[in-house]
Amino acid sequence: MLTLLKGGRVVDPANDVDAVRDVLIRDGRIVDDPGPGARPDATYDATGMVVMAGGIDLHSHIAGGKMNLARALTPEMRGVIPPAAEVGLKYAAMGYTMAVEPAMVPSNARQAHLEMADIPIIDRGAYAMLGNDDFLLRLMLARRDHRAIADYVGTMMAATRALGVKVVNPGGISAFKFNTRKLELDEAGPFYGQTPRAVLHTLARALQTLGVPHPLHVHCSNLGIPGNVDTTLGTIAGAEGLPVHLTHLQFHSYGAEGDRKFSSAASRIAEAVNAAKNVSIDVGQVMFGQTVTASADTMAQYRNSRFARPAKFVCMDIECDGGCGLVPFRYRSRDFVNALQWAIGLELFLLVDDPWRVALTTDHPNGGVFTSYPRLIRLLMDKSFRDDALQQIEPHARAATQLGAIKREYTLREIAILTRAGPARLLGLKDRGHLAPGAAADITVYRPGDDAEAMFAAPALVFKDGGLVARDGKVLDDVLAEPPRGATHVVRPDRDRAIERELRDWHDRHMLLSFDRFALRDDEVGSQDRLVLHPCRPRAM
Amino acid sequence: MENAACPFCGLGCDDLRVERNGTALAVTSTDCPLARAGFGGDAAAAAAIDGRPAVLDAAVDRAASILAGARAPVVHGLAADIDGQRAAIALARRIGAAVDHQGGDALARNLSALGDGGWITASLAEIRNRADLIVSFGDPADAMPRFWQRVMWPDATLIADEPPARDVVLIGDGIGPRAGASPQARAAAIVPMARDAMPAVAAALSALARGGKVFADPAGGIPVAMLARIVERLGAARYGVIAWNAAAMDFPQADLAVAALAELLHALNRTTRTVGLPLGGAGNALGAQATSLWSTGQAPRLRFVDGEPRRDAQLWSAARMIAAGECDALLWIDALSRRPPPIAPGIPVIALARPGTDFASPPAVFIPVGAPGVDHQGHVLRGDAIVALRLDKLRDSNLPAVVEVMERILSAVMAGLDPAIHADQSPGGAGSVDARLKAGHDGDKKQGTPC
Ligand code: SF4
Ligand SMILES: [Zn+2]
Repeated sequence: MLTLLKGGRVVDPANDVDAVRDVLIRDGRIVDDPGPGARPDATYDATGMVVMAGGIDLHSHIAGGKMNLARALTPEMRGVIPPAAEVGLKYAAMGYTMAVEPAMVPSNARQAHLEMADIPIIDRGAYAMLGNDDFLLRLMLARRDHRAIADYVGTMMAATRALGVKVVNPGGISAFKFNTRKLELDEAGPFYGQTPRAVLHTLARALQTLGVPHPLHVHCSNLGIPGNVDTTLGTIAGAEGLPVHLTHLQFHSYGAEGDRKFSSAASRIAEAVNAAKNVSIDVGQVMFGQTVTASADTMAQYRNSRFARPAKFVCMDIECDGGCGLVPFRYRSRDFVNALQWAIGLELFLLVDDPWRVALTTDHPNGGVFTSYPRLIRLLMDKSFRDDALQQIEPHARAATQLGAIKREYTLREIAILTRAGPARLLGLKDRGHLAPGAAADITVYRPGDDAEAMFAAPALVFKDGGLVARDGKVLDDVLAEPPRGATHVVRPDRDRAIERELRDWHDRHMLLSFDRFALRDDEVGSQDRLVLHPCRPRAM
Repeated sequence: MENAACPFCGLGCDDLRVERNGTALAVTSTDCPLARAGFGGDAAAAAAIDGRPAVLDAAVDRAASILAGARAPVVHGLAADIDGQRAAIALARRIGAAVDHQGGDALARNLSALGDGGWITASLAEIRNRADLIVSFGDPADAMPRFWQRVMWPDATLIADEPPARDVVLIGDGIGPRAGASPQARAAAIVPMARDAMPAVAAALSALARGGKVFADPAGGIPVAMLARIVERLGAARYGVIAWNAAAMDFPQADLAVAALAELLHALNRTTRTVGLPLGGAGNALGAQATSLWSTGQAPRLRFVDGEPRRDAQLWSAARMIAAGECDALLWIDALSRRPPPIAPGIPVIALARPGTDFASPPAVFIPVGAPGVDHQGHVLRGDAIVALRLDKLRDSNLPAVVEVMERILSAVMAGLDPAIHADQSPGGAGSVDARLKAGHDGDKKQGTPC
């Protein structure tokens, strides 16, 4: 079956294309023009429209035990944490064709995959959370060779069917289990004596050794604390040039100046990010409204629980490998701190120069729900819209932000980078996020207009693997009746299996589950799903 | 089979030796009664319609026609692997059924407290490795027979290369003198408490932990000084555990007792670490809860109205609906414990159950199903809702999995059995059921926020 998308303006920054041209689809892939003899079976007129690759969200909490806990904690809230089916449908309707769950606790991986298997249409992946696992901290305490640590990290990625690795408050979640309430970057954690800096560097190096085509995803220490800018700058330095992706950076860009001891440090952070080419970021933009924050960072979430609205929260210590904390939040434009958080996020977007190193996120649902992306895009593209919004926020926050002075407006090309080309490149997805022949035919066609929010909220056409799934911002009825299944993207590094012996022994001695049962087998979850393996490029170090 | 995984309670043991002789299985590595019963028993039975043997196809068709004709069907039991539960919820959505797990009371008590104020908990291995004090309402072994061996008394922990010294306080009635004793024969402190005194005791503990005064002494029959001593010990512990078994809390205000324990946890964590341990999870209760949450956004109990889930932990209790005559067809699913369906006079019952299930009276339709982890592969969620346990097939029994039967019933329902033809099968008259349902909806509105 040959499908022709005719005459659209193709915005495909990965291939340096911004031009009117046809796009041809065959068997779920984009193909070269087969020449004048070929007759398309279906033709869509895209004249006057903008054609981009399908959107890719590299950080969105869409599955796993903590999302169920969030749902159970807030039964009175509807729509904040959508059920699995709606996650896929809402993303697809918005022109997104892939989302990655960023905080899969290894012990909860099987459940997360069971849940993700119920997310229709879009492709999925997950980062395994390491860096608070007692096993790793113990390897570090024993000063084990970096090869052994890389073997362990690779084993955990394979066992949990992960696409990448995330570290959350390095060592801090473990420290909280020992009743340590704050852990500075260079402070030795309890019992294992490891500093967050060492944990972070160890994991970044392990990924480098394994050749994982994706930087270590880093949720820095001291989330949400006024003055945490120094920790964040220290973290950037601590990577020592190794590839790191700093996630929801907005929550880590706070100064402690002014009357209220809370200020924007976005320009200092942006300057450091601009200078450090090994660093990529996503913002975790705050959007005003009700949400439930969900994080593995129990240390931070416990601290933030006093701001819970409604006043309730959950913390859970998990299985000697992680934790989770759920705190409902209402971000209010009339609240000084919330308003400044909103402004800091936008400052970061606008002050970091290189769009290839920025991904557009709200850290769903932590800063806001993913369905608010179209509004966020308009805030970035439309200075007058942004200035109007700025007028609405709490006046002291307005005075404390330089947002009004920033003239930058994102171009369509830059938005395409932030929302698909960049994330695909950061994730090492060779055949996603662009529109060259050979790429997956995940394609979104937008109807341009003055209102970028309307444009991005309701794309005219959305194709997943070459099939039309949504039109005018609505998933098609026949797709709703029997939604297609997306693929699960994984990385399975080559590694020395010797470490498995130690893991087996560890599980037998300390866990309630043998290693064999801990590790996922290919035949057990989502066998109907396609598993896409991304190769590693191991490096001798 | 060595290292078999066990689906029969929320502890999720995976160290069982199960010996096979033909299709007969016997657990030889533990005397856990739930495991022995669960792996034992018959491996075959014939489907039946009104107590008479029938071929599976006929039973499926009959089940589908009852469900398609029902105005207020209830999907209950729900003790299956996650695939089976997922399929049951999908069927319920399609036929507009209420959904309730056989442990629905316990889930509702915990969910009420969770939705009210949240809580602080830990998963099982965390407790195994860190706890230095456990205060439990009732003996945890009642819910999880091998709790002490597997969780409390390991040979070593992450913290120390020796058996942990742990303090144990058990509060309740009928607790045996040896309950909770360590392998070194250190006895637990046992505090007698009348069952229904738990709300008062939990409230007093929480008040004391928050620095408040308790004026009624004794509180719930326990001297306040003794409760103060328990709070003091929890405050001094490095990693205290507070355990309760919501399934055993069948007294008024049980949900408030759980909420008081959650408050106690919040108060203690201001200075030290203390975690809650909601015991339970038999019948894959947490699997049902999780599957329902991720596939509908809501926990059981719920009812599908026009395909949308409406949650109400009181209103959609299967027991209440049956007693009130608001149910006109009961689909009972138990692929794990062989618990029979509740007695439901005049209501057609479709039972997907294991061979050997002891029915009080023959159900309208009996479809024998296999158990996950015995007759087929599958997954159950452990009681801490963190670890999903992979289960193996241990024998060739020809018993279908719940998911297979559910899918067949669903496609038979979808194949367009005309509801009008079967409407006369619902007893009591459709009008009266509808009238009661409507009353139920109005009640729903008045209650505002359910549970
Ligand atoms: S304690 Fe529970 S999981 Fe363990 S063997 Fe007994 S029934 Fe099975
Ligand atoms: Zn996040």
